[in-house]
Amino acid sequence: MQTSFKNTVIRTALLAALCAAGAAQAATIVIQSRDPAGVGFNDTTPVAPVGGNPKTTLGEQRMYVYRYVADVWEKALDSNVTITVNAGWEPLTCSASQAVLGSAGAWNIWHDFPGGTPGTWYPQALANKLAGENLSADQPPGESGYDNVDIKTQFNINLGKTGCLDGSPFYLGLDGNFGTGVNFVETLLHELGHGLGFSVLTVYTGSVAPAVGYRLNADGTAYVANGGLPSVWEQYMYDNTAGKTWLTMTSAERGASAINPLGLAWIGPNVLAGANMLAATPVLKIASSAPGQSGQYPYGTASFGPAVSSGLNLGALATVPADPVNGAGCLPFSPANAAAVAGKVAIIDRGTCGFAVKAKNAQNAGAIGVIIANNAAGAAPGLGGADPTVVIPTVSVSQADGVKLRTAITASVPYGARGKPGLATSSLSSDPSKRAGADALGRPLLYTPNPIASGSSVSHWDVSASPNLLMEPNISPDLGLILVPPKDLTKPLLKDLGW
Amino acid sequence: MFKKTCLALALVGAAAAAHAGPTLINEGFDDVNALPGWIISNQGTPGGLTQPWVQGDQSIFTALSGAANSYITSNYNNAPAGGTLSSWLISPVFSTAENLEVSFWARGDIQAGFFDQLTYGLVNAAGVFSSFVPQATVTVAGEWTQYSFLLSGQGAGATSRFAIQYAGAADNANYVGVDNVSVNVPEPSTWALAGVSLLGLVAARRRRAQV
Repeated sequence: MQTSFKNTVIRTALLAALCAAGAAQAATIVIQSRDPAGVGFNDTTPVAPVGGNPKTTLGEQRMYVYRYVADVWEKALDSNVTITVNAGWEPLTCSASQAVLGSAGAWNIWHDFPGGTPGTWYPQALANKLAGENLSADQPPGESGYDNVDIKTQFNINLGKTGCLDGSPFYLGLDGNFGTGVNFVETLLHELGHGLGFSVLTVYTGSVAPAVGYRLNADGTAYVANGGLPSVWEQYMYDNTAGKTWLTMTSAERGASAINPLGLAWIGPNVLAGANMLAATPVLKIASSAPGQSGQYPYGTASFGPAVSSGLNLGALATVPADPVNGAGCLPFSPANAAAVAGKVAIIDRGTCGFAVKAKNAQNAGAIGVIIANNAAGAAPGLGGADPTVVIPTVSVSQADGVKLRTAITASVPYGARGKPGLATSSLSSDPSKRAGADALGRPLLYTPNPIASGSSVSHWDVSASPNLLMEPNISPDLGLILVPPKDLTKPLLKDLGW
Repeated sequence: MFKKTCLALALVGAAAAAHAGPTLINEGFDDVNALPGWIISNQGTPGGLTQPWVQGDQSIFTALSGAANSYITSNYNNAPAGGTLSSWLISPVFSTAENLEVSFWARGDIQAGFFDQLTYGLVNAAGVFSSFVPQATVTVAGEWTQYSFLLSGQGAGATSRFAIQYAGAADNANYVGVDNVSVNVPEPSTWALAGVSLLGLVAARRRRAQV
C-alpha cells in the first residue's frame, strides 16, 4: 500500500508538471475589427448557418471563422504577450477569373530588443514573445487606430460577386465542404501564418527588379542596396547555386537567389527534422540489360484510364513509329504496329489528336499500357481528356526522356535469348533520395519562380511540395488545421525563427 | 536448479548465434553497375554484339531472389557467330586463410539445340586469367540451381578471387544467369560450442537426478 501510494504521488506530480508544460504552450490572440458600420464584420445581411458556423449574419459568420482560426494559432504558439490582429474587409484586386483573396503582414517590426539576435529584423508578435513584453505598449493606436498592433489583415469583400471570381465567394463553414467557393478557414490560417513570421518581410521581393534583394535600413524607412539589417529569415535561407545563405550575400546575390527556381532551401533545424514528411518523388523506372540504358524518369499522369501509383509494373516497352501525316497513334494501328505493341507498353509521340484517342487505339491493338512522349521541350505533360473505355494505364514523359526510352528499346534487343529479343521493362517507383519540394539533400525549397511573383516569391514553400503545405502560394483542397509534421511544416519554420 | 537450467539454455543460445560464420562475399546483383572490386572481362572472340555480365532481363527469366532483374547475365552475342565465348566474372579478393565454402546459383534459358556452359574456380588476387584453377564445368539447367565447393584453409595471408567463365562456342550458346554468389567461412567452433552447451545440460540433469 505504501509503495503504491508513493507511486501515485509521483505520477500525479508528473502529470501536474506535464499539464503545466501544456498550459505554457499557448498564446492569446485578440481580433480587432476596423470595419465601419454595416460593412465587413458589421454586414447584417442574413445568412443561413453553414458547415458548423452557427451565426446568422454575414458579418457575424466572418468573425466566427476569424475566432476559430485564431484559436488554432493560439494552441500552436507559445507567448506571454497578447497578439493583436487588426482585421478588415476591403475591395482588393480582382477580375472574373482571378482575385487577390486577402493579405496579411506583421504591422510593426523590431530590431535590437532584449531576447533577439542583435541587428536583425523581427515581426512584432515574435519580438514580443522573445522580449517577454509588449514592445509597442507605449505606442498609441494613432489616427489609424491600429498603429500599435502586431498583425494587419485584409480580405476581399467583393469575392464571388460579378467581375470578382464570379460565383466563388469565401466559404464560411468550418467543415471543408467549400464546393465552388474559397475555403476561408485555410486562407485565413495561411495569412495569419505570414503575419506571425512566415515571411522574409524586410528584404525587398517586389516588382521593381533592380531592388530585389535590398534590405530594409535600420530606421525602417527605405530598402537600401548596402547597409540594411538582415531579416531573421536570412540565416536559414541557403542558395544551392551560390553555396551560401542570404545572411552572407550582397543585395545583388539575394536578388539572383530570389529568382533561382528550385535553388533556395530552408536549412533551419526544426524544418530539417520534419522534412522527411515530404513524399519520395515518383519515377518511371526503366530496367534494361543494355549497359547505361536503365534509368529513372519523372512522369506525368492522365485524367483517363486507371489511376497509377508507385509499385505498378507497366511491362516491356515497344515504340510506335512517328506518323507525320495522321499523327502517331491517331488512327487504328496497322498490323505491323499492332504486332509490335501487343502485350507491351506503347510509346507514342504527343500531337495531332487527343491523348485518350492514342491510348484507346493502343489498347485496341493489344497494348497493356501507354507512355506519351512530349513533342516539344518541357516537362512530362499532364494528360487531359476523357474516355471511360480506356482501361490500360497511361503516363507521359518529356521529349528528351522519350528519346532515351526508345534508345533503351533498341539497345536491349541483342541482350536477350535466342528467339526472345532482350526488352526494356518499365515500372512506376519512387526515388527516396529525392523528395517532392526538397533539394537533393532533402531540404525543403522556398518558392523562387523566375520572373519574380511580387508578393508571393520567397515567402512561401515551393509549389512542388507533396503533400501540399499550408504555406505554399496557393491554397490546396487537402490542407487541414495541423501545422506540424507529418502533415505540415509551418510550425517547424516558425520554431526555427524563435517561436 | 532453476538458475542452472537457465545457464545451459544461455549457452545453447550463444552457440546458435555463433553458427553463421563470417561472410566474405554475398552478392545478389541488385545493381550490376555497383559491384565494387569485381572484374568483368571479355576474353572471347572479339566482335560480339553485347557486353558480358550485365543486369538480368526479367522478360527472359526472373532472379532467384530480390527484384525481378536482380541477377547477372551473359548471352550468346558476347562473341560473333562462329566465335568462342570466354566471358569472365571475377569476385573481389578474399582471404583464403581459413576453410571456405564458395557457392553460386545459375540458370539458363532452355532452347532446343542450344546449351550454356560455366566453368568456375579460383584465380589469384591479381585476377590473372592464366592463374585460373577450375573446380568444375557445368551445363546450366532451366531452373535456378546451386553449385558449391569447399576450400581448405591456405594459411595466414593467403588470398584469392572466385571466377566464373562463360565458355564454349557462341553458335551453341544462348542465355545464362548467375545469382547469389557467396563465400563463407564455416564457423569452425560452432559444433564445439554446441557440444559444450549440451555437456552443460547433461551435467545439470545429472545433478538434478542426484538431488
